[in-house]
Amino acid sequence: MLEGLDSASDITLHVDALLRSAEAYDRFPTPVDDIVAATGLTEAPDFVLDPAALVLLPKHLRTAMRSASRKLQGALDRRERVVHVTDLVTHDGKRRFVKLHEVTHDLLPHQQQLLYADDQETLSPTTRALFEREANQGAAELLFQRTGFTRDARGLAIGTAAVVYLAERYGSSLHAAFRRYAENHHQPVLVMRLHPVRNSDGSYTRYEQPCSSAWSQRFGGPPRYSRQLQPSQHPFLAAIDNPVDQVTIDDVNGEPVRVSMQAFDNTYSQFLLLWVPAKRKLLRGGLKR
Amino acid sequence: MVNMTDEFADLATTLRQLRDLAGKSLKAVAEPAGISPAYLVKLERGDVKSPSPHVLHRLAQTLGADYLELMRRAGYIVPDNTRTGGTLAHALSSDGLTDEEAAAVSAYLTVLRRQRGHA
Repeated sequence: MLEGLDSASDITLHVDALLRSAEAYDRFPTPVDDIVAATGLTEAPDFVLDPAALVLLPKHLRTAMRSASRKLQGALDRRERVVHVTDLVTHDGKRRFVKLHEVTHDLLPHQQQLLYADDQETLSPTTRALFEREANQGAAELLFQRTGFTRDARGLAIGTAAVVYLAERYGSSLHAAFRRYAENHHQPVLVMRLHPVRNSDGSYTRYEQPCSSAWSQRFGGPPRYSRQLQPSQHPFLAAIDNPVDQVTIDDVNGEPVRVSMQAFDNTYSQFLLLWVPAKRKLLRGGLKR
Repeated sequence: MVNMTDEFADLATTLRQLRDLAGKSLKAVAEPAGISPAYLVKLERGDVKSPSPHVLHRLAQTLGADYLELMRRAGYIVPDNTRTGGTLAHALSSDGLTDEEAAAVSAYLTVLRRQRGHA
């Protein structure tokens, strides 16, 4: 989440300026190529391993490069100001996110200045991890036009259909859209992302579970679940196989709360969306007795 | 840009020396850097040892200092122990590259750039 970063205000400032200069606000899907162009960066053709270039590397690096090419998604050449996206990233929404991730490395002045570091220097592991988090968050802020996604979500009924619609509207992957939806929704919302196929013991492997601050407040902080989830211990997993649409979860005070849920499978991940339904107001200002 | 004459000074001492050299008050440095004077005092005393890089960047601008040198003194930029070096020339997005693999990608992209006539 943006609020979890000390540099949040810097990221917001630079992202807003870039979205304005690219005239990207309120254009759908978010015009990623215009954003890249507005930074002055250029996009290289698809990054593929070129045998003619590979052979020019020292032998020990050739082996490392072959294994790296199976992991590399994108790169920013700080000196040439060129963005590369590799052919490993085939999903269009994911490619757009990777481009904006690299754009953010160039956009934030405290990262861009690394261009002037010596060749025999690198970042400490914690600093590298921080800069990656900043780049991911910057990419999300750009792709979802800062508050635009959340504002749109507020006008839609909560459910997986809303997330699918918003992913298409902004041109993101479903993964990024579910994460954004959970983290920024004004109501108590949690998304659990699982491996789509059950393990042999019947459990599900959990990847992550972003949630809204309203969910954290209601249920006492970000949820802590084990990596392997057994349906017998977590009744909400029943939504994956059965038309179960509500379960009861105890809130921070130990009070049982009815929670709605829906499952969505995009073949890469199983998403479980859980939320506390808003109470209907029958009369303005509530019922008077 | 202000020279950092004491090359062995830690970050806290460096920040204090830079401010003294600039003849600026705590408030005059803290405000444009977007931090409180109290936080700057903590930085100068070494009570806070890991300020955010973006704060160091703002302090460098305010003090007319070398940002990368402040990053080195904070321990954020460290010597590259790979045989090739040059890893900061590229920001890489990946699923867990090793240091050796990151160095290989940097070297490869440099070769590619030269081949395409951009060297």
